[in-house]
Amino acid sequence: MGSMRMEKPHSSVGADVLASGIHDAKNRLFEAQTLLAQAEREQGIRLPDARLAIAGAAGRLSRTLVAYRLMRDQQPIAVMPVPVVELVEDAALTVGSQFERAGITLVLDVRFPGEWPLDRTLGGDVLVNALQNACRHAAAKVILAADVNADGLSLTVNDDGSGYPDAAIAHPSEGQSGLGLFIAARIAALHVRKGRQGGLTLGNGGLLGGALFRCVLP
Amino acid sequence: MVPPHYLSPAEAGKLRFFLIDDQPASLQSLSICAQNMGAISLTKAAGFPDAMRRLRERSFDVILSDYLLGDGRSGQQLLEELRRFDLVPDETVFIMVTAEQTYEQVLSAMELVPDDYILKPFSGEQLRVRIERAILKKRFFAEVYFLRREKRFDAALERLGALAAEKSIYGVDILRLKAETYQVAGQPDRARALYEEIMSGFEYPWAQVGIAQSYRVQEKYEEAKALLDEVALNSPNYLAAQDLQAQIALDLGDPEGAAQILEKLSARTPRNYVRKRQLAFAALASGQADQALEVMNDVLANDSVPGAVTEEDRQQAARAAIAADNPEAAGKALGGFDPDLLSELQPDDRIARIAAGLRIGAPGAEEYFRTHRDWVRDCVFKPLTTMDVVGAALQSNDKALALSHTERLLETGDIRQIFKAMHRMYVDAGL
Repeated sequence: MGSMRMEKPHSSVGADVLASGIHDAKNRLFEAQTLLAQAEREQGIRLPDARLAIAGAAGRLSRTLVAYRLMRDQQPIAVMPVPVVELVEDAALTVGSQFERAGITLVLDVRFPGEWPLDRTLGGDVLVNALQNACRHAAAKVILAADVNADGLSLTVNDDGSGYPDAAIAHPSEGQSGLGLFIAARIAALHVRKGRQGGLTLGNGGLLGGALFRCVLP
Repeated sequence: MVPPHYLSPAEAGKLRFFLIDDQPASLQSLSICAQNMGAISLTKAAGFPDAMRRLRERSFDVILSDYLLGDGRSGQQLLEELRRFDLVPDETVFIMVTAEQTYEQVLSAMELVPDDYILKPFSGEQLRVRIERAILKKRFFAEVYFLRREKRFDAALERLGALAAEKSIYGVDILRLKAETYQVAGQPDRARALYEEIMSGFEYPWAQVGIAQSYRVQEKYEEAKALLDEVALNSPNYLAAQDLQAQIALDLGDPEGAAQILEKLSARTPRNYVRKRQLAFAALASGQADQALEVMNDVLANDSVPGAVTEEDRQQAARAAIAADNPEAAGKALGGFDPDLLSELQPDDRIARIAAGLRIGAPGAEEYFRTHRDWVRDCVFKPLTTMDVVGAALQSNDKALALSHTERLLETGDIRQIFKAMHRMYVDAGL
């Protein structure tokens, strides 16, 4: 354990170097994205695959940095009051092209009209990741629902695919979508309020019968 | 699936955009993105000074600023300077653009927050949604902003009560605005009750600082300190908590403690000259005259926004230079001593210059001080200028004049922040 303490300053520098590189890369992706949008507008064409590739690369970069920080307990969290409907709409907007391309319908069902204390960026990443997974496995439809119950804010993503394998339900952080779920679980756990901690549950069933992802933020 | 359009294309087309980024390619991208969302009126600035200049000339509906503006400047500083000089009304939307999400987490801990943040890369559609939401929120609170500006606090509170009944998505904002309004209206108990209501939902650091502020107003310093220690520990990026800690240290006659806190904070925000002025004050009050002079010279040289450096700043630099036994620096800070110009100045500015002139041996200053003794004796000056008078009186062996002003300061209780500095003057004078 002593050596881990010694390494702390170095790992912080590592995160800074990584952050700076990712920052530059995302700036360049922004340039590419806007030039693409301009070309689409001027030429009257649509290049959805190119858009998706850029958005996908940016998403992966962000997620890599968050994962790096989470593994070193260096991920800061900024809780602010976030209108739940905006959190859900933003996530839907981010994955919009992917769903359109895959021909999957995304239904939003927000039953809580107010704000909830959470980290908007990190909370949004959890939803985007869950929606991207659902889009890959759904047959035709995904529901993103938000409601508040006794445990806190419940965000669920349900699809009409074949559901999670039993092994994934037992060990959510392993397997194909392991990194995303690992990050989601850690982000949920960073949300602590009145002695309670956020968490994830995976299951099958729900309204659409397929995979059921639930993240609860106290 | 796509969030609804809250503004018609005609409304969106009328918005006046101001885009700021020091990287030409990024600025171009911002511009294309705004055009993609229907913007027609676009003004661009390539950095901090350019942005400040243009914002002095005209106003905009939407400001999109990159977080990194080059030359050690940031979008956060831009926002702080705009608010400091009242260059953007509450109605203007200010959105911070950044490529790295940690900035959002750091920035959200700041006292002055932009209306929103957006992370690169984003599409024109995502930008539209963020801007429209911010505009809707501005419209929701428009009347409250107006009433607060007019200092009609009761009416603002009444309006906030009506908004609370509308069951909007802005519940916490309404409570916060109410608490802030009670605070400025001089009702700390009510402000505190509202912050406590917010805290029952979540312990936001700004709500804790709000409670500490209300305690400070009521001179319940121990309660305030306990809360601020907790915020400084749990939210070290929320600098407003530490600014308030420094303020309370000054209130309690502990300028050394205040200077220590402000020195650390200033190292983190080297371009925050409001904080540097506080540091100079604390350093001077605690006898660190060299440090006070160094900091004030930095302020005079680098707080480059037009109108930022005031006569009070020049006097403060001179005060620090005199305390540091550096008459040359004091003369330089004041730009010389000209008795003929004194009559145009306000009493505090006039006496500060006369006292400084006397102490650095400027020709004519001592005579002016002596011939205007009755006027000096009868005037009531601000605490710092009173200290100048005492220093000048002691130097010219006019103990009676020094004592009369010291006693007046003691009676009002204003002496606490500068007690140690005054005490040193008497010791130095062999008294």
